[in-house]
Amino acid sequence: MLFSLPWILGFVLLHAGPMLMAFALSFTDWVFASTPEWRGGAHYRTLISDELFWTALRNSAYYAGVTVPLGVLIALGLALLLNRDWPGMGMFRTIFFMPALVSGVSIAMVWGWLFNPRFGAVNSALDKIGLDGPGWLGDPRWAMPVLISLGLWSIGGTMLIYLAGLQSIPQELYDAAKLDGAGRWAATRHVTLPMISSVTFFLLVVGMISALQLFTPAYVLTDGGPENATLTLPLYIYQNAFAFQKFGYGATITVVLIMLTMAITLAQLALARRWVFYAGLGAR
Amino acid sequence: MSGIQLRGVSRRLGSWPGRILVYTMLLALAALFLLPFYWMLATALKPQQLVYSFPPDWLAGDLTLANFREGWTALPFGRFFINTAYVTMLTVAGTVLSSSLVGFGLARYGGRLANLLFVTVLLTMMVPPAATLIPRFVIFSRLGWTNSYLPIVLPYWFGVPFFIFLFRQFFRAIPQEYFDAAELDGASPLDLYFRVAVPLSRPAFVAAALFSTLIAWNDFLDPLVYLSTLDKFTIQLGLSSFRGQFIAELHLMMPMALLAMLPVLLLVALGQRWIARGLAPDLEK
Repeated sequence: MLFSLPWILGFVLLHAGPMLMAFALSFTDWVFASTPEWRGGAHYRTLISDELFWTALRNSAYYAGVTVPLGVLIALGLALLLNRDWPGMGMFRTIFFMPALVSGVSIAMVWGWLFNPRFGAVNSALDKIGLDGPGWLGDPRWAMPVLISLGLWSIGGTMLIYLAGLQSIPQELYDAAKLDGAGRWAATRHVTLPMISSVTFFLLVVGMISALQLFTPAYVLTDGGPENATLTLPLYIYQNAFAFQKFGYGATITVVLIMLTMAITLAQLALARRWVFYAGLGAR
Repeated sequence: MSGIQLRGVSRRLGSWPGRILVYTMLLALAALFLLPFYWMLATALKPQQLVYSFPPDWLAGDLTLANFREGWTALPFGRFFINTAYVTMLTVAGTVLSSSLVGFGLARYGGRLANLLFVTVLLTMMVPPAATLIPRFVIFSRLGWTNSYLPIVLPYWFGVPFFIFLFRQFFRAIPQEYFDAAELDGASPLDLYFRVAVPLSRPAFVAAALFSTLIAWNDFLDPLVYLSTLDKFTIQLGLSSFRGQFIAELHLMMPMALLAMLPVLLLVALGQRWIARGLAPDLEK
């Protein structure tokens, strides 16, 4: 049991403890290095009438609601295309996976430059086919789609997990489907998709959790703007705590983010019975 | 990947039209995925006046390293790289050591407590890291640890849920007889870990080391919250402050962004064959 000691300490001190503490702090005012001051449910009442909070909630929902399903779909499409032993597949796999390695500030900067309205590659390409590109990050309607495009570009990890899932489907199932006269499309629809539904489920759950965390590009590229179009919940938490020194209120939004994440995860678990198919997939 | 039996794979090359269609789609998609890298590289190597020419210049004509030289000296990037390498090394060491030990404990020793602990690992995987940002900051600042690497690195020494899960799955796939034989030879639990579990699970260790390198190298939020002086900055934080100061100097930002990505791209290129093997326990080979 001594082996588990680091985790027992870590769970109590770094995960469970801080979460309870966030909950406790959400009822207080705490300014750096002072004693927390009890405020009761005041922050929660503020929250309800705080328009920025609702904007941040909407933005996070918008980002996650588009990026996660679309990203999973694209990753599945790529994995299906690559799941052949034709020459060159390894090279393509590497190319599609590479973007997943470069999260962080560096790629956010590249993205901003790519979508630069005047000197960027995107508007230059649009110009070549006779289209007039928008102002992207400077335009409240287009700023979030730019961040979504960055999220969709970085789906290499999802694709690799799908590829592993596809390769674990027994060949006999395809042979049987073929005997029954199923063509390629029917086999994909009735064998492949059900057999990897548990992978899809896992990827949707994990994807939602991480999409609700969107912070770095929103902070680096737009700092929540323009007109708060990219203000996400984590960014609003960060601003409250570290820019406005409102740790108590930041903790209140944190509690909402935790609840939201858990609610979405539980809802997905509940819905999973309807569409996720578990074959006897060995020891899990 | 060669030598691995692919199942559920189209083995035949198929008809010519079908083949051409698939390759055309793949090539178009590959171009789309590579475009950001190309645009970054082209900008980094272009002479300054061509970066801001309109319409934009797609093929970099005269290549120059001037942007690299100028960007490198605009802020102490050498320092940032050393700092990031230091933080990454400590993070990876902590993650791999603690997660594998905990994973070993959970895999080898059953019982209700172990099961309960495994449930806490799974639950923690579902909690967003931002959830503990403020309380952790309160704790670490009370300890006087701000502007040091302790709050960034130390948490990884207590086990990381995803990697605990990974190691547990790997260690459970090792046949019990291996451990029994070692125990007959008088091996202690630590011997079992070092002499049996570790040598049989190398792919898992390599995969965990690679992925935690990525996490540490690209981490931005923790350095942003805890580090305040330039001499402590990591590369991601340095780039962010670089952007703040040189917002219009894209010809300097692109070479620095490129340099910041290069180490992880090279590392993964070297360790690529381990990644697929390290994600699933597979003792047949």
